[in-house]
Amino acid sequence: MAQPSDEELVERAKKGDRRAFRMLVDRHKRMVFNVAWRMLRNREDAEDAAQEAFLRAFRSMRTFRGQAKFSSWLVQIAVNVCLSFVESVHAKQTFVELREEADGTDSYFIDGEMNSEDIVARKDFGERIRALVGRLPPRYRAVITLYYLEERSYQEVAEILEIPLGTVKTHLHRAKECLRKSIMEHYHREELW
Amino acid sequence: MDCITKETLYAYAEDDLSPEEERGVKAHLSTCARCRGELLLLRRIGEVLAEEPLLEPASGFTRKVMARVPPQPSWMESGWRYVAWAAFIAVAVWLSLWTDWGTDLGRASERLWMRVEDRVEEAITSMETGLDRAMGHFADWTEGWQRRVNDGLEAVGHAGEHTWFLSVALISLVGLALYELLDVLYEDRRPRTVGS
Repeated sequence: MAQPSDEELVERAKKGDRRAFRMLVDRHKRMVFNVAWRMLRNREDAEDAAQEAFLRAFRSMRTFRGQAKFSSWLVQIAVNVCLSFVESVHAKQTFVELREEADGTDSYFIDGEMNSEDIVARKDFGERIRALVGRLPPRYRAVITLYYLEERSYQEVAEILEIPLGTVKTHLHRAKECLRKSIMEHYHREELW
Repeated sequence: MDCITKETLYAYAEDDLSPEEERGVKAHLSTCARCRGELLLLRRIGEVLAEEPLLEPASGFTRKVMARVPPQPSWMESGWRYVAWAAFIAVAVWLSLWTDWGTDLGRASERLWMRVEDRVEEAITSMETGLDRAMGHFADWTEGWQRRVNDGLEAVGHAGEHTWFLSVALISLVGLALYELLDVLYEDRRPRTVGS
C-alpha cells in the first residue's frame, strides 16, 4: 500500500489525527534533528530543540496552508527554535567573528608561509571545521547549515529564512571567511607552540 | 599582480559566476599560487560541511514528542458536538410543539416555576421582617450607648476645675485608639523596605 503523502497527513493532523502526526514525525525527525545538531553542536540541546520544533508545528498546524513544502516549513520552525535557543540561553557564548587586518589590508593569509595543502591535509581538519560552525554567529550558522544540509539552493535557503537572496550569499561567504580565518589561526598557534 | 576579490573567489567556489567571469577567474588561477591555495581551502571547507554524515536522533524520539502532544479531542470537543446540540434542540422543539408529552411537560414546568416564585417571595418577606427587627435592636443599642456617653460627659462636666485635664485625657485616648485601629487596618499597604 502506498504511503500517504505529506499533504494528506497534514490534512488529517489538522483535524487532530495523532497517528497522522506521528507518521510525519517519523518521516522528518532525522532531518529536523540534524538541522538542530548542526546549529547547536550539542546532542542533548539538539534533541530538545527538535522535539520543540515538532510541538510548535503541531500547535500551528492549522496555519499551514501548503504554500511551501511541509518539510521546508518544518525546517523553518526548527531553525527559529535553534536561533531562539542560541540567542537566549547561550547569550554569553563567544562567537567567532571576522576581524580586519591591523594594517587595513585585505590579506588572505595570517602567516604568508602557511600552505593550504598542508592545512587541508591535517587529520583533524574536518572535525575542527565542524566544531567551529558551532561558534559562528547564529545567522551565519543557520545559512551554512541549510545550504550544506540537503544541498539547498540559495533561493530555498532565502525562502526558509525569509531573507533576501543577496543576504544569503553574504552570510554564506562571511561564514566561510570566519571558518577559514579561525582554522588558520588555530594551526598558526599550533605551529608557534 | 592584482588578485581576484574574495567575493569573486567565493562565488567561483560555489559555481555562482557567469561563464565569462568564470573564464577570467580560471585565467588568473593558472598564474597565481596564492589564489589557488585560497580556493583549495574554501572548497575543502565546503566539502567537509557537505560530507558531514547525518546523525540519528535517540531511540524513543517520536514517543517523547507524542507524549508532549495534546491528546486527540473527543467527539464532544470536535465539530460533532454542534451537530449533537442541533439535533437535541430540534427534538426538544418537536416534542414541545407537536406532541402531548411536550404539552404536559410544559404545564408541569409552569407549575414548578410558580412554586419557585412563591418560595422566593416568602424568603424575601422573611428577610425584610428580620431586618426590621435587627434595625430596631440596633437603634435600642445605640440609644443606650448615647445615654452612657451623655452621663459620662455630664460627670466630666461636674468635675469642676479639673475638667480641662479630663477632656484632654479623653480626647487623647480616643485619638490613640483610632490611630492603633488605622495602623492595624493599613499595615499591609505600607511599602516594604529592604530587610523588612
